[in-house]
Parts: sequence; C-alpha cells; structure tokens
Amino acid sequence: MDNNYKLIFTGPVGAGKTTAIRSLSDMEPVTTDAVASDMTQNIKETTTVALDYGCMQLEGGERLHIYGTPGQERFNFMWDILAKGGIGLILLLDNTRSDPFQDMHFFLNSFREFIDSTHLAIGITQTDRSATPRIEQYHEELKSTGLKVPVFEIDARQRRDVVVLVEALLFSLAPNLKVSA
Amino acid sequence: MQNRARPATRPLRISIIGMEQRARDTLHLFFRNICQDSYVLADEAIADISIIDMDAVHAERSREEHDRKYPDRPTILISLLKPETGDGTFLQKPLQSEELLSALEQMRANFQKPEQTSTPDTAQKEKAKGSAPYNEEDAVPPSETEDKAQKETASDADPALAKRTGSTADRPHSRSSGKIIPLFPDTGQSIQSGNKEAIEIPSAKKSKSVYTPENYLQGHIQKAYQLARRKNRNVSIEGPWRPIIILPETKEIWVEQSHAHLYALSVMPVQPEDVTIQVLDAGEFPPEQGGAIQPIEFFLWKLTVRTARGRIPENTDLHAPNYLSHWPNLSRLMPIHHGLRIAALWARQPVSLTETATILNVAPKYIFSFYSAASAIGLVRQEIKNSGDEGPPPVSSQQEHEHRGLFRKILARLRGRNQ
Repeated sequence: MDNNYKLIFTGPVGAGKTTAIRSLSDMEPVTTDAVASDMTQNIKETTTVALDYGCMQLEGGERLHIYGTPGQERFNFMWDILAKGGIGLILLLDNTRSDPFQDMHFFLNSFREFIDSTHLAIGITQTDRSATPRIEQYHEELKSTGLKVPVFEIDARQRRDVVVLVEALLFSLAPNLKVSA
Repeated sequence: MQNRARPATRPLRISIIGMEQRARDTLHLFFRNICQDSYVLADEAIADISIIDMDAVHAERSREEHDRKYPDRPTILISLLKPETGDGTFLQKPLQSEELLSALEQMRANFQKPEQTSTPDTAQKEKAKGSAPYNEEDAVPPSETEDKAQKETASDADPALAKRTGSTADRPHSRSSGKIIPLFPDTGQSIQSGNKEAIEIPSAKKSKSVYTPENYLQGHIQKAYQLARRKNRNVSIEGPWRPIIILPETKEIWVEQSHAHLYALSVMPVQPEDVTIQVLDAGEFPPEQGGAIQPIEFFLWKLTVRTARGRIPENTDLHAPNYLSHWPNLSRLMPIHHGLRIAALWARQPVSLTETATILNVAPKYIFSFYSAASAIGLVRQEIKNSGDEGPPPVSSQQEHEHRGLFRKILARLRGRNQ
C-alpha cells in the first residue's frame, strides 16, 4: 500500500454513497449491489452488500482508492477491514430517514476509533426533500460526542458538493496544507 | 430643507470597445436602470474602466492599442470563450448582470486615489504624472489613502444612490493605479480581488481594515434578526429598498429586491434614521405575490462578504483567539477564498487573526472576510480558550502532516489541475 491510499465513505442505506463515489472516481465504480431481499427493498431495488469501489489516479503514479461501506448493519464486519489504512471518513446521512441522529450516532460509534486516528466530514443528503433536522441541529447533536467536524448539505449527484466535503476533510487533517495557486 | 454642501460628482465612466450598437444600448440601459447611473458609458479617452469585446473583428489589435494608450486602466474582457491565459478580468458571454456588476464594484473598491476632479484635462495630467504600482495590500483591505478618500468624499458619491440612502460615505471615487484585477483569483472561489498572497496583517490602528456593520444594510438586518428572535415574531425592515421581512421561526428571510440592487445597496451606508424595523402582526406575511424566501444564514453571509470587502468590524481584536462554535455550511454559503482552511484551523483551535495569517500563509483580506461573515451569522466569537478545553494539538506554520504530499495531489486532482 506504499503508493495506495484509501478514502472511506459510509452511511445508511440510500444516503448516496455509491453516487458520491461515482462523482469522484476516474472509473465507473465497481459495485456489488444485489437485489434487496429484505426491508431494504422498500427503499431501493438494489443495495450494496459488500462494498463500492472507485479509484482516483494521482500525480506520480499514486492512487486514492475510494471505498463505500455497505449500508446494512449486518455487514458491519466489513467496516474494520475497509477502514484499515484509510486517510479519513466521509459519513453521508439521509435527512429523510426517520431518525437521522440515531443513524449518525450509530456510525460514529462504529467508526469512533478510526475517526479519532484520522478525521471525519459529514454530508447531509436529501435536504431538498426534508429540511429538518437543520445543519445547526446536527452540530448541536454532535456536541455530546466531542467532535467538531464539517457538516455540509450536499447533493451526492453534484461533484462540486462532494469535492467540497472531501476538501474539508483534507483541510481538517492538515489546516496548514499549502495549496498551490 | 437643509441644503447640504456637496461637491460636484459623477459616476464612473465606462468605455465600450468592439461592441455592436445594440449591445451598447443594452449596457446603457443596464447602467441607467439597474445601477441607477452609478456607471455611464463614456468615450475611451476619458473613461475610468474599459470593457473590451474580444469576439469583435480585430479585437486583439484593439486591445493591444488600448493597453498601450491606457496601461493603468482597469479592463474587463468579455468573450464567448475563455482566454487561454488568465491575464485580466474576464467575463464569459452571455454576460450576466450580477457578474458584470460584481466586477465593476471590485474595480471601484480597488481604486486607490480620490478622484476629486473629473475633467478630462485633469485626468490627463494624472496620467502624465504616472500612477503608483498596484498594491494588493493597499487595495483590499482599503488603504489609508482610500479611507481618507472615503472621508473626504463622504458626499462625493453616486447622487442617485445617495438620494436613496441618505448618505454617500464609504464610496470612494478614485482612479486605480491598477493592473487588471482578476475577478476570481486562484480557484475561482472568491469574489475578492487580488492575485498575490501577502500575509502582512494591517495594524489594528489602521482604520482602512475596519468597517462599521451598523452603518450598512448588514447591520440593520442583524439588528432586526435579533429582535425577531427575541420576540419570536416576523419583523420587517424598511428603508431605501423594497420590503425585507425576517421569519425567525424558520430562520428565513423574504426579500423582494433584485440581487443586483441588493449588491449595490450592500456597500452603501444607510443612516439609522432612514431605517424602520417593525415587529409584524400575525397575518401580515406572506405577501400574496413576489419576492423570494431564502435561509437568513445564506443571505446574511453573502451580504456581509460584499459589505466587508476584506475588512473586519471595528473593535475586532487582531490578537484575540477566535472561537468557532461550529463549521459554517460551506457547501451552500457564498465561497470565500481559503474559507475551508480557515474553518478547519479555527474548528481545531482558537486562533487569532494574526496567527491565522501566519499559519495558513493567507492574505489578511480573506481571513477578514471569513471572520466578518462568520461573526455576522453568530458562528465566531473572540474569547480566551478555557484551560480545560482539550483538542487536537495546536497547528503551527511549520508543522506538516505526514501525508501532506498525498493531500496536495488529491486536492490538485479534485480541482482538476493535473488532468
């Protein structure tokens, strides 16, 4: 993994992980979606049962591997494996879900060790369909976790939104990162 | 009626080069109706700013000739295609009124010398004497010269807008020594002018770096928003603009004014006696038609960036730590150059404005803009960090992340510079 690094996307089913990875990846993401056979089928026809994978080719032959975790809790044994060696975590939350805060805490707890050793940025999707909770309410909720992280409204279909989120993650890791003009 | 002594003044003169008559007429109407004669079309020889249509026949030759004759004149180039080189302010066709107005206001703001005289003869004499080199530190934040000019020309501004606002201070009409000012420096994220990263923090005593929000629409909106929240009732703000109503329950604002007009108003001082803030009864809103509702956070952030123009509110302490309560929603707020970096630093630790410039190697005007906007929406305050607060280790200008090289490559890739 000398010249290979990982960026991890996580979040509940339907939060837009696959779409966000598609907007960043140089290649069409490899997905392992399968026909949903449980309650998930009420949300979408297929779901990611193992992982999503995309890749970004960097200058000098390095690669950024972009992984999306499966959204279903029963596959969380994969998460530790995926996260190992990652540079940071992007958590996408669907604002139309019944309890987005519960989702947030679930993923924060699941990845807490990884977050503490790297950093986190949170993207809130579907805000056009559900305006609440508002962004400041997420920040209020985050206070109990001790995390002061970027929380942005995003549309996973818009590359610009996803890019801003990833940039926020990178600058959170290294605020004094010098940016060439 | 008291007759205020007011020296004769004039709008900024715009020369149009290579544009066909219909387009010239359109611009003429735009300047007259939308800009309320803040700008007027003028002959090339006496203009303050030139707009060159690069799609015209012999446009390159016209531009070379123009630059030879008026090397110091701020110029806006317009074309269907982006130029290969990034030299100069460029606007892509179809020309958007807000972009044009933004570019013109930037140039106005960056004018350095007071222009008390307006005759072509005097202009020629000024030209003959030569202009000082363009200096970004002096341009934004405004230089002492500009600040002085603001005072000296307190009644020397756009008469049409002056009539509407009751005051014309803080509207310098001065000749830029300027080179061409990029509209979107670096990544295109900012509206501030300038293309040089200077980190020298202006002295706190230099009033050129500060402004008084209470003297502008920004301050009146903030005051009305506080009242609305306190009363938990809708509040209207009436003044030299169409009605504005704040809706505290949903944290939204209803605005009937056009964006272009609001932009012009954002830099115009408005006296408190010209503004009426009123708590509304239930049922007084919404109006049956017209206007637009948007989150007040987005509106106030944008308004503040435009009003501050790289300055900080007076009484801001350059050396006090800035405590950021949480990250601004930067995917939806008007971008400020280096805003992500500043937010990341302040979210990690309280840092003063001077330290921020040093650590990030960022020009103060960007830090000042971010501070002004973030404080306007209540996200930043200046105070001493509690000794018990824990957080990541402090960042210094020398400290580098072990993956900094990788991060730079990712950023370059995201921003499309190595594709």
